[in-house]
Amino acid sequence: MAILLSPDEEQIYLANRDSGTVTRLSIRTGKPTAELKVGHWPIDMAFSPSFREIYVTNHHSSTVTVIDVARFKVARTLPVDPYPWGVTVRAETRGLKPPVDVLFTSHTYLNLLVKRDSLTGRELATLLVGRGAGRIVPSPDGKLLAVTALYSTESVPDKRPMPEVDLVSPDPFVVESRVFLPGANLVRGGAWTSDSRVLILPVQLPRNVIPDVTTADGWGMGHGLAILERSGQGFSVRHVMLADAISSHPEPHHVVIDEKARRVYVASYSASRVVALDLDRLLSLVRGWPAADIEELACRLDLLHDYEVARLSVPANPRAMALTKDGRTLFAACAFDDTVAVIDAPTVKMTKTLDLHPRQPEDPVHRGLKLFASSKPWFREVFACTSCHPDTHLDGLANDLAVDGLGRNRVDVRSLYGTAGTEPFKWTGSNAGFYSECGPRAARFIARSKGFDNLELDDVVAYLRSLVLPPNPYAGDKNLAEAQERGREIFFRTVDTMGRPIKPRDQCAFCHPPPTFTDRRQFDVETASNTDTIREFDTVQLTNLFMSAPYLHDGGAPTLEEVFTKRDLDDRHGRMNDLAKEDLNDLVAYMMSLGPSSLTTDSGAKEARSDRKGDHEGGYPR
Amino acid sequence: MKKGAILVVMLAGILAGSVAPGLAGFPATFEWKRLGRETGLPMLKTLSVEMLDGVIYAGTGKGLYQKMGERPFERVVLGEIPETAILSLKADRKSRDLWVGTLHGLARANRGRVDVYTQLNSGLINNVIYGLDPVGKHVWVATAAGASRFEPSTGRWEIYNEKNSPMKEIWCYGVAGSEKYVYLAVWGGGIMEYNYATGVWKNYFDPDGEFEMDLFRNDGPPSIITSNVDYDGKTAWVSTYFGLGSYDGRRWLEWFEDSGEGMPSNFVNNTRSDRNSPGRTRPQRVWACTDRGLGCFDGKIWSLEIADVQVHSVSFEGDIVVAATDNGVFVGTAKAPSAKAGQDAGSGTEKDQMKIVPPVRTGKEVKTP
Repeated sequence: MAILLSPDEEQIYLANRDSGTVTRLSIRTGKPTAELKVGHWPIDMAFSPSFREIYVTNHHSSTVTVIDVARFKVARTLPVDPYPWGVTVRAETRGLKPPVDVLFTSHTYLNLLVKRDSLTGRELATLLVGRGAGRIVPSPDGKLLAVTALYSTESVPDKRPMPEVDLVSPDPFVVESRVFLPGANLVRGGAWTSDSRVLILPVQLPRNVIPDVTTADGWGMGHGLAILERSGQGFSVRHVMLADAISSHPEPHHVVIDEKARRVYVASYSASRVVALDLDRLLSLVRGWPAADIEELACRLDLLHDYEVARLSVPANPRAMALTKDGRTLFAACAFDDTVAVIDAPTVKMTKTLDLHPRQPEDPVHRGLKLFASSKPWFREVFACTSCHPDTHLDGLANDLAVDGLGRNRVDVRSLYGTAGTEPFKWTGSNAGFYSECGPRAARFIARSKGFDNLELDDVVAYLRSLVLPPNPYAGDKNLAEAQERGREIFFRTVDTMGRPIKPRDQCAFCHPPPTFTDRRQFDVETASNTDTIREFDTVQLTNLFMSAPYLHDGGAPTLEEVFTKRDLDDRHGRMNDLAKEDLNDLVAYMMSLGPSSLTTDSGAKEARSDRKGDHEGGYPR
Repeated sequence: MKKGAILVVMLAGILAGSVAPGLAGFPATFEWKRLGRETGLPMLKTLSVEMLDGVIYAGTGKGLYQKMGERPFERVVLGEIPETAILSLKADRKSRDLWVGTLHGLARANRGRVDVYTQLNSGLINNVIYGLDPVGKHVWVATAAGASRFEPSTGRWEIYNEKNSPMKEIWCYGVAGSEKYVYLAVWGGGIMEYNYATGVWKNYFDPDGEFEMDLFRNDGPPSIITSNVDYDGKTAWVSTYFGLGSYDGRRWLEWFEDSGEGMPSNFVNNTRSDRNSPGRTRPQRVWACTDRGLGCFDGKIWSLEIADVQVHSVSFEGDIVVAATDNGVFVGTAKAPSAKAGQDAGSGTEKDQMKIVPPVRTGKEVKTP
């Protein structure tokens, strides 16, 4: 859910992810005045410089919907690269004739920031940015676009994650500076101070590797803020926690800064809370903290009371906020209650809610969704299911869980999309189904709390069973590309390149049969590492691999190629060593195509996309 | 070389008013400053060089080094790639990516981030990367086992080798192109031209098939033993171990050590045109990196800019020229602005196209390296 406040502060625009709509709400009446169908999973919005248009990124449609604000109609739908997330629009000062606004979109799984002609969506230039590119936060001076990243740039087992924030000059379109956030993950939408010197971003501070795995200092998972401040030619980075010894503000999704009131507002998605922080105290703390001890600052649970001003419970799962110019009213878009919390900012009190529709009884799936995103059932509300499975997907980390001894059996987090029918779960295959996975096991080993009761568990399972795979842009609309077709033949082959029969167990399709590409059994294919105490692992489903790196049970293969090279030296993971390099490339191209057929396109966009020369050439999604 | 041949070529050279053959190279037109170990280079042998945003990147036998302003050379760590020979460097001036070809894979460096692509973690055909060029959305890579084409924005890799292209050998030493054509220098396989519009490859071989002499001048590449290639959007410049050639899409021209224009040597390691050098105000030049020094071509004659040293690579930014040699890195600036300087400056325009005086056949052009 994204939120925009109109320049006259009379309207609110909300992007509704699950219904694929944008709603216009009147602040004065508190009622919705119109709703507009856009694409699938509208995830972010931005005004054009003239405020006459709103650009909406449709994450699952691979489109941008342009809304005519005056008529509140769809003006045009622009086909863009797959999985657009962040969006911003700038007035073009030079280059394009006739002058048109330029549109910037980030693309999550391709790790791209693309500069486009806002009329047609035509690509003007592309930059590679951080892994899991997310929000775009323009600096107030117009000189930089901060592009956040969900995942660590490098996926290295036993190392703390290190996502990057790319500070991009819009013109010339280059990465001006690249700031790495050591020990952080899932970097989301933040805010700049008005002088463009400080950028505050909500982050996760995972404790997934030794020596961070500890009950003290935020067991298993911490959450906080990354504070980036200009320092010489670059930026200094400090992390502070949004937790104390007995409570936490998990999954911060959005930050708003009010410099007049010297406040920072943070939306804690999983705690369903808005937290007000003192900007000066926060900056004073990070500026005065010794540079040699910055890792410690990111773990301190005794400092929150220094900079926390107030905390306010709001309806379920605030994901985005907007503040009026006078700083008096804060609007928090609460995703799973379909409402906007109206908050009197000076007192941090909720005055009313603006509902998108009349309250209705919730179905089990919706209740399960809210439980999945809620930190309430978890020990000291430190985290929620969605902390490791953001939007039910994955956080890109391998965790060293303490239950089997530190240093042993590091396990990669798996996506929950399309998992119904792929039981058993866990990498050992020891959980027969959703009930055992999410019930007492999760309560004992993960939540360390009572966990879900039986009724709640029914709802969570209903929700997880409802999850389907999102579109796979590598799958194409109709036929496999040539390379993918060659790869398919290799995948299903029964003889090797020398004409010798391949033993059934060494054929790809033996363990990975369609349609889910898992036989739901466990095998030892010599992928165990020295620190593993088990050797047989659950056969993973091979769907939507493009979005689920790193691979293998321990996350030790950042790319599919490495599954068959560095991690399969003795040809035990299927018959592979007879393949030439070009054959392996074809096999990888085919595996990347496995999943639901291509993009769910919006009217007009599909036609426009098919006209683009070279689109889907070779089975790749551009 | 036979004495008779030398006499014939010397006479022809003198008659043509050019430099005496065997004394290859007209006087230098640039002033050169040498950067050796005292500037932080780990060794004198530098195999590749590139300039980007005023920074000199030197590919040595022991890793990549960068020099910013007056600071000494500093090592650039390329992720998992060890301290190995850096064989090729090329900047993508749009994105400011520096692409690095090594004995152990390909790397992309940009503002503190390094991405490494090897034959084990990506679709790269082979880790030994002799040449590379970012061309539009692609990065072309010439390796010891064929060529790869990588599209960073999709992660897509293509392989070109003897199985799917008319590649006579798989040792690819250089690659360069534009969004229309890509040229691949194949050691023993001449020049291959890839047409982006059709996806079709075309071969150019030495028509006379002779290693040691050129029977018909300007009939094709000087030799099939090609060591590198550069393409400036108008002309492909081809270095071989038996002379240097150019191809403008219609005709081939050739230059040899003994043909009177002043080529320093027939043994040409590398060549590069500075037509697209950003910020250049002096006239266009073409450069030949040879075993006997660095040659600079003004369209008519070759000057010998750096003498008596094996030169491996050359790069430009503005009016600065940098060269990677067996004796360190050389930085050159033009001695005096040309009278024409500025008139044909700028890159990519028609007026900027170098006026080439076609070399004439002087007899038996001997091309023994």
